[in-house]
Amino acid sequence: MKVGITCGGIGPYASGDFLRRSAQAAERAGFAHYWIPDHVVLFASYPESKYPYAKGSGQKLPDQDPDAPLQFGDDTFALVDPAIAFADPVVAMTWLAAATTTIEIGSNVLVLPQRHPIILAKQLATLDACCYGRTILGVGAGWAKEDFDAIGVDFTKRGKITNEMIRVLKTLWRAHASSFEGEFFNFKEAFCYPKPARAGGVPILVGGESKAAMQRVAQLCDGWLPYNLPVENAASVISELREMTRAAGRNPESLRICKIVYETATLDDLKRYRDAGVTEFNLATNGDIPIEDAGMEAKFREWKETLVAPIAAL
Amino acid sequence: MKIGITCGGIGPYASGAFIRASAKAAEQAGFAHYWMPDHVVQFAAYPESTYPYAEGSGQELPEQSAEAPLQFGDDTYANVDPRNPLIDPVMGMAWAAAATSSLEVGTNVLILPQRNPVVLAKELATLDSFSKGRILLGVGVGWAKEEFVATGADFSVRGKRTDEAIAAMRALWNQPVSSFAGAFDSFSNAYSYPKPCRKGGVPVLIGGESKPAMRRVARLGDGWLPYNLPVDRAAGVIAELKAMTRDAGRDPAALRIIKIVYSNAGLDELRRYRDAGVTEFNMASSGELPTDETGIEAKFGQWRDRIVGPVAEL
Repeated sequence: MKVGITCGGIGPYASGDFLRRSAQAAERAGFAHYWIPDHVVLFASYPESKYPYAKGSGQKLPDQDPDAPLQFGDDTFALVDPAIAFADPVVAMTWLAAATTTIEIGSNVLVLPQRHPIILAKQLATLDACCYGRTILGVGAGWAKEDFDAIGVDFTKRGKITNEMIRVLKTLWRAHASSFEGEFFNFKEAFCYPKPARAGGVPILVGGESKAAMQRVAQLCDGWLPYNLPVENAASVISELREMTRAAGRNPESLRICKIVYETATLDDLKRYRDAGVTEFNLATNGDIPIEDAGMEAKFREWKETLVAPIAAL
Repeated sequence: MKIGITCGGIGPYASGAFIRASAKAAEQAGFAHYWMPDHVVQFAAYPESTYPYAEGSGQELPEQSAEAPLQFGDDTYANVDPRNPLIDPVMGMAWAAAATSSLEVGTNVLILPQRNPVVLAKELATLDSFSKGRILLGVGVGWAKEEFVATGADFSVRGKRTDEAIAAMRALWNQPVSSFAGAFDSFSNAYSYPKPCRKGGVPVLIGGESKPAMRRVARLGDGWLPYNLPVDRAAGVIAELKAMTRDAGRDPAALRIIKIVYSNAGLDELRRYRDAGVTEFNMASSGELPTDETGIEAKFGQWRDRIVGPVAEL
């Protein structure tokens, strides 16, 4: 099986230099994809919102060294300091793609309703054309009302906007002259070129474990990016997702299901995820990658032995 | 004097391979900047709009070979086929910046009122931080009503929206904790990091020769990107711009004035532009660049000897 990596884009890992070097190291180590997070703005507190990922991946959180370059919090939002660098995912993906040749580059997850679908369609099509079809769009509907207020998007409509945007993106990526009539977006005979290199457009994978997110996968998307899905629940939840996909008249076999795991995951757990229907993994690292060249290279060499190779043999 | 180049982003010049190769060749040839255009969507016809650049740069148009890879039209809109790929300028800049190390990379021009300033500020700050301060934001208010209708932006307030977007982006770029209250955009206590590498933020240069465009330069621009400004009128118009800038309480000597010229511009003409107050040039190539690497390098070698070298002596 394949495993990707989440390690760049935040704090000391948000520099162009780190992103470039770590993407190259990940590609050399055999990681299949490299994932970038998204928060357009951050706030010191989120009184109007509830952080939905406080439970993490469903695994026990790995211990974090107090000297790790990036410290995660443990309460409402995983970042301790709002004045931390948080790279834009679309620009970061372009930077990563320019530094590599085979690895897939994805967002996990880009908060879709905070962007404009026509601008985003053009941006991702440009990127996918530049990198010969290595782009993945992981999307979420967002959870932080404060972010939506700052960007000027109605938080209460984020689910509907997300669903409509997914259809807009696919129209612009597939149609020669694109037309769309929706509740939020309307256009007629618009030409949007370049098209993505990948036939059918950039794959859209959905983050989140809510029923709404799973419906979105089943009805509209190319895969799922589950995070908080404990291994003992995986089989039943994935079979439910497959059932929903069949019910939507689509083939569940073609879904990519890419589970976020920590590096403390045992091979036995990964096998159980595989048997439950997970098709690939995404290693979320722990803020402890050394920034300097030699240390970073050593870390990726270690992962090549301890993770990438054993998972490839699964 | 310095000279930049406009050659990438459209049609056969929109590929990642061309942008990478030409940006590198431009850097090696000593060009100072590399500029990307913007049309998020295109249409087969623009019945509701008037193309404002039909008169070109004010020079005589260079002859275009019938075999030139990209054919420009000469009437309402310079791009003949709406299915010609036209890259997203932010992605195009990111791709060009990733391939180079000293060249400035800019938009000429990005249509600002079609984008969300909070998202764009983050994209450009990320890119400026990655590229260590090499990004230039050239903006225009747009002329194609059809594009505004498609993107859902109000064409009738595009000027106001542009002014406000510049102020909102500067709040996000320059304030440790950013707040802004405007007619279109408002946010309070938002954290947007990384900040641009360049002190004061990404330079904002204004395109267009209308009175509102010049007033925009005078009031809030870091410079001007004149296109249709014939050499015999340059001194008068630039003196007027400088007076407007002084009237706005700002220092006209700090403005970058980057004139678009064609490759057939004579040195004598460039000297007259310099004496009129133009500070740099931007050469718009005319669709005749070869698209293979050897051909690209040969052409840039010619330009280095025939244009970059002599302009540097000015």
